[in-house]
Amino acid sequence: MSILEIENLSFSYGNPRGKLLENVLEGIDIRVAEGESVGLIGENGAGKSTFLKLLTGLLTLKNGVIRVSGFAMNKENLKAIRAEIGYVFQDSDSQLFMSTVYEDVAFAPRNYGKSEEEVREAALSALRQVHMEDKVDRQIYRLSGGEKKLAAIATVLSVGAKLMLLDEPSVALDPKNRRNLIRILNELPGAKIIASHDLDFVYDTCQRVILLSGGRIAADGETEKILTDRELLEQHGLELPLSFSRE
Amino acid sequence: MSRISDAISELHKLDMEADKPGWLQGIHPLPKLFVTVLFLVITVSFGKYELSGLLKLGIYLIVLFVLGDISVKLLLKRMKVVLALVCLMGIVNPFFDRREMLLLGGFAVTGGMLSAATLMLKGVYAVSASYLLIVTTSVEEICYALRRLHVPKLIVTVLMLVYRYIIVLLKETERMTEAYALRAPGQRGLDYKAWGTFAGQLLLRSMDRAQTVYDSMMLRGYDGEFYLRCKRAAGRGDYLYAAVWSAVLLFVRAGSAG
Amino acid sequence: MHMADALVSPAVAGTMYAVSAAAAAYSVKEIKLEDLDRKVPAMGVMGAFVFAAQMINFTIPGTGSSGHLCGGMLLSAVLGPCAGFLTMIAILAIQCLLFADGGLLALGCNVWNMAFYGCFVGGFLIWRMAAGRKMTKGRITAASVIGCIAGLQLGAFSVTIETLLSGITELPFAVFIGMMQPIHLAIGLVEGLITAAVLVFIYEARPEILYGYAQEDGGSSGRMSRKGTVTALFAAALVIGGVVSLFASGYPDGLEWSMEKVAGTTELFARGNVYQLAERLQGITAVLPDYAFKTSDSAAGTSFSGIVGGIVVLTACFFICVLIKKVKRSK
Repeated sequence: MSILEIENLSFSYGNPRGKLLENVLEGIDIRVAEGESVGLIGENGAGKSTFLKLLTGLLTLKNGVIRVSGFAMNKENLKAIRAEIGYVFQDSDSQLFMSTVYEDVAFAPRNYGKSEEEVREAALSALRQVHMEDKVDRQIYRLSGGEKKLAAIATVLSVGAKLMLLDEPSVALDPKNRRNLIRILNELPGAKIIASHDLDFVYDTCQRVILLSGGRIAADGETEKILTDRELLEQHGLELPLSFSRE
Repeated sequence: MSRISDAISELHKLDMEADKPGWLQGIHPLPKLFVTVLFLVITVSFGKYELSGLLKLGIYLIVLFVLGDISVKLLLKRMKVVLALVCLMGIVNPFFDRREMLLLGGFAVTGGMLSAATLMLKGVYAVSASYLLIVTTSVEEICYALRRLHVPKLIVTVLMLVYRYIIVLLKETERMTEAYALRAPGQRGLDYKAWGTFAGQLLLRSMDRAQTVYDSMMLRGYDGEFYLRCKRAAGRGDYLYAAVWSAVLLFVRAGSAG
Repeated sequence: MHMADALVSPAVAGTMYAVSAAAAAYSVKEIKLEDLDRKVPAMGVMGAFVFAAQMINFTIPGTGSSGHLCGGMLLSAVLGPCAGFLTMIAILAIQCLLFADGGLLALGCNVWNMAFYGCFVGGFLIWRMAAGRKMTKGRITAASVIGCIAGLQLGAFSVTIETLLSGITELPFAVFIGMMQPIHLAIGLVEGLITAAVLVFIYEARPEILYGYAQEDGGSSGRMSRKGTVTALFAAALVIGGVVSLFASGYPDGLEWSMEKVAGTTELFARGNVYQLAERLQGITAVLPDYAFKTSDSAAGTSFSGIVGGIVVLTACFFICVLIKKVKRSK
């Protein structure tokens, strides 16, 4: 069964006078199965961020259909959809606004009206999944960049999100933290969409890749195929992942 | 700018202290806040010549500093600012108030000297008591106590958010000032031509960050409610702490009433 | 301009807490009418911004010294006066708790002296009058400078009155006020110019951020009602007037004054049994009996023996505590 279904999605930003500008996204059709990991690649301005914001309802859907776990994207379903979908921001400091790890991870379950005991269970289980159980009461600002990223992932796991959207998760991580993040992401059972310029990272975490270019899907297929296709990548302003280009 | 890094390291150190395990750290925030405020009120309630009564009040600080194993090093640094201010206010007293109050051996102590000494002692007490509170209680715990005291949720929430983002913004400011200093060698501060752009850029970025924070809240089901929970309810020991200290402090005050 | 705990008497601290709390309650009520959930994160982050920005040294041309940003004015110009005021409360609370700037008891005073005048007088009245409907660079600059000066003058005046009413300094009123006001006139001018530079930059880059920018005449949302303005002004006038008249009527000791009002007597501690017992016990702790030294302290409540007694108590207490700790450790 698909966790995410997108049909004929297009989007354009309005300028301040309400006049619509050129489409940022056009004619997008995607299905993502449960547990599938999809890499979303494309040069700057290809529409990746807009796409992720539409999926979470941060931008209002105007044309096309988005269904998350069967819920059609609209105002009434927004809360239900946001319990299914978790968004990991590029900047962890903006995502983590409470002062300690526990309080932040517990924020979402509390908002969904769980009892304090359930909240605790959900928070601790989420932190265990990202191997942060020893940092439960740590102040956020004392975490390293890698730990902040993991804590941010835990904040979306604690509501039991079945689909996780990650925006540039590997940015500013050192090699060790990056490897650790790859390992943890691969352990997590839920579906993921990973938007990244770090094609090696995408290669290590995703079975499938969608290449966005100029707001349209330029390619959608197996990671192995797309990321080794030098001509396709270069045509859309990207380069082969380092691990292949050396050969 | 060293002020910024000073502030960051100060916050770090306070946090480290508050993280240490100890019986004082374990006491519920509400009674701790209550006793602190009571101590402060009693401290400032002493008249300007009532040095002896004020001295005795110091047992509160001594007991907690020694038995609570509280580091004094950080405190001394914090004392500087307040003592400077208090001295400024008190230093004139000996000149204006020359009534002889006491004879110490052959030396006449004037009212002004006495009131200056009392004022400085009050300054020391007040800073020490607040320090004792913050070094054994985390900001979240204080926020929780404030909520219990019916301080509006909006204020407590903003307090928590400001506290959370202080370090983030201090670091951002530090990076910017360093970058500025590198390109403007020899300047001690910010040239007036850069006043608006420098702080303005920082402000715009902060507004963008606020938008992301808002998004992050909305995505996690925020609907205007911030839930604040204390890790545990107040127990018998906490009530005892408050009761014993209230009794001792009031007792000292009552005993020194003119 | 932060007041310290040691500088206030309980009566002054209590009064200022009360008026500041009233202003805060009003702001909380008023702000609920605006789109609050969006404002909360902005208040938090902007509060942290002001905190950090106040640590930037802005060099004053032609002098070796530097000035700082005026938080209240800036916050009001971006968030509106009510949200700005509440954010300033959070900043002041954190400054007193974490950085020993100000104090827990003096917080009420500090909120009034800095946040209230900065946000409501400087940030609201003057911002609205000068920058108002048709913002221009000149108007923004004028509003910032006048607002900062007005806010700081009122704040400095309050500091003087509060300190004198608390009865802790022997400094005559005229000398004190003669020092405070001119200094803060200069500070206000510099802070105003710095704040103006920042606000003009914002106006050119993203004017829609500025409070009141996008609102046309009819849109009342986010604007304080006329009733609210009058109330705020009236409250300010009342407090200033009350404080001045208090001072003028020659009560040097605020505590005594308030006690007389509340209890009808200046004697705080009636002679109950408990007090007698306490006094007797304390008498024992005073090792040196009063008559051993000639003193003239009867009115002051302090004697040489009393001071020595106090020191003895503290020393004894210290050693007992150390002993307890040692015993506990050795177990």
